[in-house]
Amino acid sequence: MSLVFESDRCTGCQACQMACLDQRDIRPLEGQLPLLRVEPAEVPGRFRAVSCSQCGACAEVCPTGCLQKNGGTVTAEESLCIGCRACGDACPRGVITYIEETVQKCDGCAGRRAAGLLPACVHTCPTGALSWEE
Amino acid sequence: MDLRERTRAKLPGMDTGISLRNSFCDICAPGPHCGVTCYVKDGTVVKVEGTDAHPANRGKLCARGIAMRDYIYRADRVKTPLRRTGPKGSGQFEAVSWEDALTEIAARLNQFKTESGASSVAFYSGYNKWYRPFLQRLAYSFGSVNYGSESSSCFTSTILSWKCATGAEMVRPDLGRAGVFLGWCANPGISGYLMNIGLQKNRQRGMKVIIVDPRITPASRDCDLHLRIRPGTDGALALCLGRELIENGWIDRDYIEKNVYGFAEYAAYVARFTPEETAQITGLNPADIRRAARLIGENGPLAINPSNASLVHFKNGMQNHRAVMALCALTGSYDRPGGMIPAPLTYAHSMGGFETREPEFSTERYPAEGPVPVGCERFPLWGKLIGEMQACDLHRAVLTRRPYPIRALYAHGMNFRMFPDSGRMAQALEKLEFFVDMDLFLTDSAKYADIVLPACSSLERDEFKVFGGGYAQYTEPVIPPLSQSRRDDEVILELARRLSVEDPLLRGSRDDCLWYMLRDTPIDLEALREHPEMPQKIEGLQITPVGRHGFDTPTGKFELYSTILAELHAPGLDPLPTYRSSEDEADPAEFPLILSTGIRIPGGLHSRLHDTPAARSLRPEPMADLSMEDAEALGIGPGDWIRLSTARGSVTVKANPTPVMPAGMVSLYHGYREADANSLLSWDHRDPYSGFPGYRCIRCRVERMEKEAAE
Repeated sequence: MSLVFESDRCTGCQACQMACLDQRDIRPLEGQLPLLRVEPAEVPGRFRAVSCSQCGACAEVCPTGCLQKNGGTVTAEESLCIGCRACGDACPRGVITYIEETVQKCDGCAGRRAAGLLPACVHTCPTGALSWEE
Repeated sequence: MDLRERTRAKLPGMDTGISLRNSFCDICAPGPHCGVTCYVKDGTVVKVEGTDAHPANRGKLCARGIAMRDYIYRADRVKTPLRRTGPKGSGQFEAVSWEDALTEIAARLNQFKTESGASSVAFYSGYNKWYRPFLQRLAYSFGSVNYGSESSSCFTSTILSWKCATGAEMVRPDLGRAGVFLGWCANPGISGYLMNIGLQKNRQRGMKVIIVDPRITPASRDCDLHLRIRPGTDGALALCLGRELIENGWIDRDYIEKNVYGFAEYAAYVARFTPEETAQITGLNPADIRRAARLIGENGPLAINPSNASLVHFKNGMQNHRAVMALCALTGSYDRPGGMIPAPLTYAHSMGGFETREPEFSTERYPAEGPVPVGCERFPLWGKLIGEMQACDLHRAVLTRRPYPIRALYAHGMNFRMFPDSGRMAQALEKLEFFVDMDLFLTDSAKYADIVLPACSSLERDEFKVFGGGYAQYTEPVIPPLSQSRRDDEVILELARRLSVEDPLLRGSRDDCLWYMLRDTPIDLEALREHPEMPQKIEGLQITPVGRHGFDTPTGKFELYSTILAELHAPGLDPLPTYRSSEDEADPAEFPLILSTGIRIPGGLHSRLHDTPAARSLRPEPMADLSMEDAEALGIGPGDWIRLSTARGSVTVKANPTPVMPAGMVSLYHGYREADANSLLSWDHRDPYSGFPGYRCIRCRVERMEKEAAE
């Protein structure tokens, strides 16, 4: 269960990245990291999306059980976060961040999906390069 | 799901207190505006997304549109009317009431009118364009001929091109039925993403795509032929393609016979543009040029990217555009299914597919007596066909008092960084005796104003709006206007009353004006107001069928040889779509590279998103893109400080070497306070036909700098 990205269809417009910032109230200019970022790929004119693969490396190092494998995704129980940032250090893609010392990670917009909506990034993608695979 | 999770996910509902309200995003140009759904909690927008059922964008939205929330809540929103207390540009103001501000504005403007004539007051509209019919009518009813706008540097050049050729204002590609799409300057993934959706879809059904762009882009990676042309040499390529179409018999002789004027003169002129000669000018391979001609010749009908800015931001831009669009005449693709279809500007620069009386409303009060508008003598084609002030010449009238002095400026959305040699425009703002600027933000330009008025955004106002395909909408505010901000049109109508203009219509209500403009259409404003959430399909519209538009030119034909230009007898203006170099006169040895200040970035829209934090985060610092080859030759690595210099000046920015740029070309996005790309253009580096600045072809030099020196 994770975000699927088709490079061939991506135009690098970064609407997905912006949608994630807007959905999650993340402010990169204040030091927070985007949970999804679009970067130029090696092939000129192509792009890659760097986002959570739900690999679980963060959950493995979490000392409080705040981060847990929950079905196919890793979700955060924010009330358990102590702001130790071990998960951010362990994340191989650099897509975990903190708002007021509380962890923020991609759960594929679990709340939106539970309500029958698409993740914010998938919803806005103009080319269909992003999809969510259950 | 518990309430905490639903709130965190920003789900609408009684429990979360979040409701959904629809409006539209007006950050970019009116043509491609998108419907947005705002998630509103306690009167505050907490999330923005594309409206799923909206006929324009079907739920999609670009990065700029999603930045709308950050945009409207920017810290530098103007909260109250302001009166300047410190030196011009200092940003020192005191809050004043609307009553005091409007009283003072009306008194001062009427004073200039009495002392120096109404035309000593200029009226100007920057971005966006929704209130322009009202502002233009106000200028004329006040008695000034000097109404102008930022369209003096954007898109109007293509109107000149089409008016010379066919008399049409706007012409759109019929992608759904085209056999070949000539994507001249088309990178719709980044600019105008709605076209990209159509491009992908039609390519799947077999439409051929040619991309003409110096850079490698997502569009060029996904096409049948990519021509990496040298910047500004588009006209030469187009003329050569015309020659090849003629030579190979890939033209519609019957169509030309009936509908085209000046074919013989055109054919004689283009004969010199052989693929070999043209390859020398354009940097292309002759075989690729022949392949392009064959793709066009064997795969009609031909549709072409309208290219409202990119193709015309050159010294020879209008002529290059004409040369490109001449290919429609040769192939008989104009006003034909799958070709280029004339499309009227319906209302406030939006194309709804039908006509209104807006042009009449905007211009019918044009003063019977008065001087020639600023810029219209200097740019006679502009003067004849557009007739508004060419605002790129405004600084000259202010600074040199030629052709006559402009003493005061009443503006909505003035941005001096748009203008070539932008520092000169800032000087002009400083020299004005009285300057009013209405804006959402206390911009660097607004800081020169004597009075600043707070404008509200599209989310804070109700507004009549048309969308393509025969749709119209009368929106409701999603949230109330922030602080004391007001609608631009409301302020214009109030000012009309206070200026005591003799214009009963303009002294009435907005809806009075709208009814007047829409009187020939079946649009019912009251009915629209009952469905503010969504554009309504208007039944019973008079829409000209494809093939019946005709040619509104002196000869009644598609003019390859423009009789309008011929009769102007203006020195340096040619009736044929001639090719000339678009480079400036700087020494190529000293300035070996070509700078473009116009290439779009995903998080930028002129300067309006540079201070919008979310959008700015996509490219936090101004960066100059240059080729890997040039970077290596100059010893420049990613993030190095460089000095970018032209004959006019220099800026210091970070370097972004990238394989998408061709050798010899540099790009710096415009509008940055700390690295103002348009300060590098000379004010007279302009297209003599349109008056447009040559933003995309400026000779420059790049040098690596030590970090200390740069900082």
